[in-house]
Formats: sequence, structure tokens, C-alpha cells
Amino acid sequence: MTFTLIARSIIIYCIVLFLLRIMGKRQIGEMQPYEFVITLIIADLATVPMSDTALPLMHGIIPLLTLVCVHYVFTFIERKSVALRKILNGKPIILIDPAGVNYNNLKLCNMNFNDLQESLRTAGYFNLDEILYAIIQTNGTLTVLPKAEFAPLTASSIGKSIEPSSLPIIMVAEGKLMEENTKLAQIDEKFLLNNLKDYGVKKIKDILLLTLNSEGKVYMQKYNSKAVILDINYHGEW
Amino acid sequence: MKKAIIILVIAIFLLSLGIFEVISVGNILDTIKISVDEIAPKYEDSKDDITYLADDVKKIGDYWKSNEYALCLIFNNKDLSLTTDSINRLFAFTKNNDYNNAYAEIQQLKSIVDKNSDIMGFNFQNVM
Repeated sequence: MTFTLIARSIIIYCIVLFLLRIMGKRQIGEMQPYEFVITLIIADLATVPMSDTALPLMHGIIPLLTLVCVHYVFTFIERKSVALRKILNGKPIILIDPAGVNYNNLKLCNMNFNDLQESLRTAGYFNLDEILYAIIQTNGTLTVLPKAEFAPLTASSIGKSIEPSSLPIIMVAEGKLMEENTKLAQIDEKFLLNNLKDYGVKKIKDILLLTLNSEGKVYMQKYNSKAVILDINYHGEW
Repeated sequence: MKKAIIILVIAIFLLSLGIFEVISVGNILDTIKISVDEIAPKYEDSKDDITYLADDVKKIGDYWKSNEYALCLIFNNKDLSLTTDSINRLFAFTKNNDYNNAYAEIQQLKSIVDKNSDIMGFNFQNVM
């Protein structure tokens, strides 16, 4: 019986993991209502056949697979149809506008002022007079557009020009070269070792983490060492 | 595209499983039902000596046992064991020429077999 339970648990776990992967990352993060429903149901469906050996495993697997197919169909139709998107997800609701708090919309969302205040504070806004718009999205999160005078400063707003930003990519992680990323950057192990030999790097295995951006800025941390930031002679196109 | 292919594969798998169930499992249950329906009137006709029916009951039991692998994919083990136990009891009563218990058991087995067929069907009552 023990081995049966172990085998059933592993099978169901692998299937649920596989299904969550194909349903997409949003299942784990912010979810639309129909996605939230399916995640709840999947959790419940998975546990019942895991522990009840009288139930055939198929009684858990078939509903799980069916729900994933239904989810995919809904997602596909929702992408193509604005009307269905509104039905499945609803639409964003403005809670605060330039005139102030929209009380009717607040009631529509079944929220009270304490809920609104809590959501605003979670979003980092403690004063209502700083807010131009506050909108509750279809996945339940509150997004805020602050008034211009309270918006965070940016380089362009103070007329300063700065280096263009560049996405750092992991080239080495836990002593292993990330080949897909080095191909993207059009570099290889030899290039890295040549540029890092002055910093005591003899082998890639010595490096815990190394990231490189397209302007040649390197973030490198060797095992049991402090991280260092270096500039190397490199320019990438990504 | 990759996801669409995976979903298509899953949908085909589910459809194939449904068809397998209808054809294979349906056939097994129909065969059992027919065999039980054939043997039941014989119990009514032979009140004095029913031991000759033991072989027929054994054939039903062997057929059921040999197809349990397909049935346990679909049926709850508890439901399966109801049928298995009923067949075993019927065999024991028949071999011992215990007419009253055997007669009651064959009626019980008939209703269990009918219930299995009903559970299998795709209809509004089962969905609800």
C-alpha cells in the first residue's frame, strides 16, 4: 500500500507540474478569474486520487487533462474575442480619478474605504492627493498613476542624459557555462577566460555567477568570494 | 504552436480513452450481463439440484477475473469488489447446493451487473 501511495503521489505530482507548465507562468503569478478557478480545482482534483487507492488514478487524471484542454480553448478564444474577454475577465474599474474617489465603482468592486486604503498603501501610496488615477485590474491588483508632481523622477524629466540601459544575461551559473546565452552574446569560454584571467579566474568552474550586458559590464562572483563589477572590452547586440 | 500540439495530443488521448472504454470495457460488461441473464432462469428451473450450474458460474468468474485489469482503470475498486465477491459467493452457494442463498445471490448479482452498465453510460443522469 505504501509503495502504491508513493507511486500515485509521484504520478499525480508530475502530471500537475506538467499541466501548470503548459498553462503558463500566469498560473503562479497574477491570475484572471477563470485561471484562478482552474488552479483551485486542479489542486483539489490532484489530492483526492493521490490518497484514495480505491479510486482509479484515471478518475483524477482525466478531469485534470480535460480542464487543461478547456483552459487552452478559453485562452485561445479570449485572445481572439474582446466580448468573451469581457465576460470571462470583466474589465478594469477606475476607483480614483481626477475628481476623487469614484464611490459607485468602489461599491461595484465590493470594496470599502479601508480596503482601498490598504491596496493603495501596498502600492506605495499613502496620500490620496498624490493620486491621479487608481484602477483595479481584472486580476484584482490595484495600479496607480500618480500626479505628475508626485511621480518618481526620471533622467529625462530633469534633462539629464544617461547611458542606455542594457539587459544583463547570465553567462555562467554555478560553475557552468550557459551555452545558449553565450551564443546569443557571440562569445565563448575562451573569450571569458581571457578577459577574466587578471581577476584570478583560471577555469569557468571557479565562477559562481557571471552576468554580462551589451555594454561590457560584468557582474562576477567566484565561490566563497565577494562579487565584483568589471568592465571588459565588449559590445553586444541584444 | 508547441502548446497547441500538446493540447491536441491530450485531447486525442482523452478521446481514445473514451472510445477504448466504450468498446473494450463496454464489451466486458455486456458479456457478463448476458452470461448472468442466461444463467439466472436456470436457478428458477432447478430447485432440487443446482450443483451442475457451478461450472457456468466458474466460467463467469474466470472471465471477470481475466478482464479486471481493464476494468480497474475505470471502476472504483470497491465497485469492482462487489461484483467479484458476489460471483464468489454465488459459486460457493451453488457448489454446496444451497438453493435459497444461491437464488438470492443471483438476483443480487444481476442488479450489480445492471448497475455497472448504468454507471458506464454517458447520459444526463450520470452527468448530473
